[in-house]
Amino acid sequence: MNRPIRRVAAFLLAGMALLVVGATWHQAVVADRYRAHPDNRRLALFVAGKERGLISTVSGTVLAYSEQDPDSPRFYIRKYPAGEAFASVVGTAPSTGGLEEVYSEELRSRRDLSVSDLMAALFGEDLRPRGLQITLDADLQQRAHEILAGRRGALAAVDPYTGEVLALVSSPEAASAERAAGGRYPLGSAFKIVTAAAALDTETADAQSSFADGASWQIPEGSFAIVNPGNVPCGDAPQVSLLTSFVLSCNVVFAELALEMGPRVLETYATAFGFGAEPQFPLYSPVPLFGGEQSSDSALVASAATGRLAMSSPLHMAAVAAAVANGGEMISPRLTAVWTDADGETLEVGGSAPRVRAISEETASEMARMMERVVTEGTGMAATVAGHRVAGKTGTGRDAQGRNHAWFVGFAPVEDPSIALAVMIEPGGEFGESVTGGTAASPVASEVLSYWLQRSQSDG
Amino acid sequence: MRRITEAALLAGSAAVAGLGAALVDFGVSGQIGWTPVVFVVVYGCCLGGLAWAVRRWAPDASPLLLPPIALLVALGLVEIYRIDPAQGSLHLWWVVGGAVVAIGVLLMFRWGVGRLMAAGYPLAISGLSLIVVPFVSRLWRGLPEGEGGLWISMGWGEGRLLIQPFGLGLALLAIGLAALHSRWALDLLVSVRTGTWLPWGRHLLAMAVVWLVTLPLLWATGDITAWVTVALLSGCIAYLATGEHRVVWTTLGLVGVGVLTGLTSSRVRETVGVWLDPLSGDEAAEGLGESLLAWGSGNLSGSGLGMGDPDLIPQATSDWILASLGEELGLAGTVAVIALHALVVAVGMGVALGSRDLFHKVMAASVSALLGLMFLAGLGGLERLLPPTRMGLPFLAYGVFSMLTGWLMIGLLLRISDQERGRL
Repeated sequence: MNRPIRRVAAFLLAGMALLVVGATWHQAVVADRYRAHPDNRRLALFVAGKERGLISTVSGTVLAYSEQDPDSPRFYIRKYPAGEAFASVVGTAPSTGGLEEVYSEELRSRRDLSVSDLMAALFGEDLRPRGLQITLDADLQQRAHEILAGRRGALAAVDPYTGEVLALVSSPEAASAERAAGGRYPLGSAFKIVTAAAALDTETADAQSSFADGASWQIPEGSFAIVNPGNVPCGDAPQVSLLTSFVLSCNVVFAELALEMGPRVLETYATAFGFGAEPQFPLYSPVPLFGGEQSSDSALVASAATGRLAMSSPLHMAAVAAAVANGGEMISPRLTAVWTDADGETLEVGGSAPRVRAISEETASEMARMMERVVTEGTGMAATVAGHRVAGKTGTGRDAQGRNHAWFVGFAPVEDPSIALAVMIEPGGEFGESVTGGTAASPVASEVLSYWLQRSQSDG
Repeated sequence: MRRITEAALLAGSAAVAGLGAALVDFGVSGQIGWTPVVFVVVYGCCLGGLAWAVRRWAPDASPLLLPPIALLVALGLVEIYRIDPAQGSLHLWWVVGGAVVAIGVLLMFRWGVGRLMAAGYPLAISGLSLIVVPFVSRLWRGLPEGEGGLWISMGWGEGRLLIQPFGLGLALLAIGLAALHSRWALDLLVSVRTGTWLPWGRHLLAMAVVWLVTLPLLWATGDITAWVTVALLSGCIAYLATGEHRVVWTTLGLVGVGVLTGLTSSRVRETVGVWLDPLSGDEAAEGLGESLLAWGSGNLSGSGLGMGDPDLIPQATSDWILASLGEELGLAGTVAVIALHALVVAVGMGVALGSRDLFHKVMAASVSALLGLMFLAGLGGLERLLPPTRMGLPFLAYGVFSMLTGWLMIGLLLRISDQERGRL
């Protein structure tokens, strides 16, 4: 009577063997498919709950830290003690913008209790999260955030010699809404810094060179005319100097100038000033001036010279101002200063990229003089800071929808620059729909610069 | 000497329960509380009591039965405690209850299990009644919220208790059928009273009755695998008692017809849908889908006790306890659980093979077959070899019935093993 027992036993044990095969299939062969399945919440829980490194400014203001979850010590909670002013730069762990997203891997603890993890720990590898110190000036950032509050815009400030980013503000401020470095906005006349510098540097013209004045100018071989703001001539006389056109931001002269320089020159200088450069900075990649279009078309070049084609971010324009301020060398903005280990010991100092000469020192100092005149007697008079010499250029760029973007790009103090900044204000808020560089961006720049300059003065 | 080895292995299981609870405490909160000590002491006392009862009333029983069971129960206890500490602490007392049942079986039948043979009908009928309770409950109240498959919610005012007496019903049915079928088989050996025109008539009739009575359960709960387990069990016991091939073909035919009939039920079709596409995101597929995601995340070595997220699985402590264990202990843990079950089934079948008495043979083999079938159904459902089932596994799953069922069967196996002088 044992045969049926043997058969049933054999059937059951064969079933068990099949179970081993099935388990191997699910838990080993296709396990990764389950682990990475979009409905599997484990990965997100794991990443969100991991310990992450400290983010602080070089001077020690804590911007983000991880705290053990009191309910479940396996997990960590990320805290952002510095508040809203830093939200867009720092972002929110693990993946909503800012440094938290860009350096997601570097900042995260690599401890995961896996076998490979244990092996790495045995060989003395430090699996704890790394800390990051950034160059922002916490007080300036906070102040600039307050000044921009209630307006729609963005602001960037850099050290004109080292390229260290001092402030990077987007308003309204929110994680995942970083715009001061990552945004793209029409520059308008703020681009004339590049056109004027190209003309001076190639000796096509100097500040006193005269050009035919007029309310508008028909481009030779072109199908349209370049028109001054307000459709009025720059001055009273039939001739007007480059300086006056720059200070009053007349378009006609810059169009003539560009054609005089020749087709490729403007593009060369735009590239030297970083338009279309490789991103040296995680949140920042300037767009090329012509975006792949044929730059030898004279109508296009004339139009570009007045700034009608250029798009860029406040951070890039702050770098352009820095090049004028520091004697003609283009800097690469940098935000990450020092990587540390979990004990705060320095692991890696973020080296500054070498500065690249864009224009000669003479051109730079001549540009500085012209830009100072913009603030003392031109379109940027609202950027004045009493008792200090400020240089700058305003701009009002119009986007495809016809909305104005107001710019002020400048630096201070002129005799010994310590800050280069760019302010961009969008329509809306207290300025209504018709914002211009002179009326909307310059006053903001004045407030920010006045805070910075007064603080520098009291610090000695 | 064998008993000493057995006692050492049992002590090891108690230590596993304590160590596991300590790891869970540490993994979850970073601090170790008193629970591990309670686990070691209480579970140690249970196993100690069992070992003592075996020495006292079944001294010749196989020493290979208790240790694997003790380890399985320890693993289940630790994992339940990990998912829900309150449930785990309560489950400890169900474990105590189970051990008391096993000791009670040893005491009650210390003179032999022979008198069970006379109780075939009442046992089989009470088993069948427990099995069809979910169906009756559906007929009576429709499908109350929070209740699915084989679960029944018992309500007293605000408090509600979910119970699943299905496993206990299976165990009682198996014991009853083993008694009936072996008695009929003996009748055939000693007389030709039943006539020759259909010598296996009573066996086939019993199978048909079980099939007919349980078929509405399939229709009402949609749990194909659980129903197939009942049908296979009844055929399997008839085959064990008769050795007749016709029984096997009849069983397979009945299962096939039953499943085809079941397909007219929307719940059965829903189960098939879940089976074919467990990751569809449907609410019905949540249990199996989340279990598979948990299982895959466990990979080879698992996340470690207390370090996974089995709490994302609905009913992680009962229906999907194997997935929870697999996530935290990995493929290694899953294979260990399979091996422990295979060992218990093999030892139980060994007891049956070594028995001289037909009733002992059929009873030991039936009980072992039931343990094996339930595990095949549970893990097969998780592996998608079979449609998913919510049948509670004895020894591992949370609940009083899981413990009662398992320990009742182990008590009987120990008893028969002793009676046949520990031939294995």
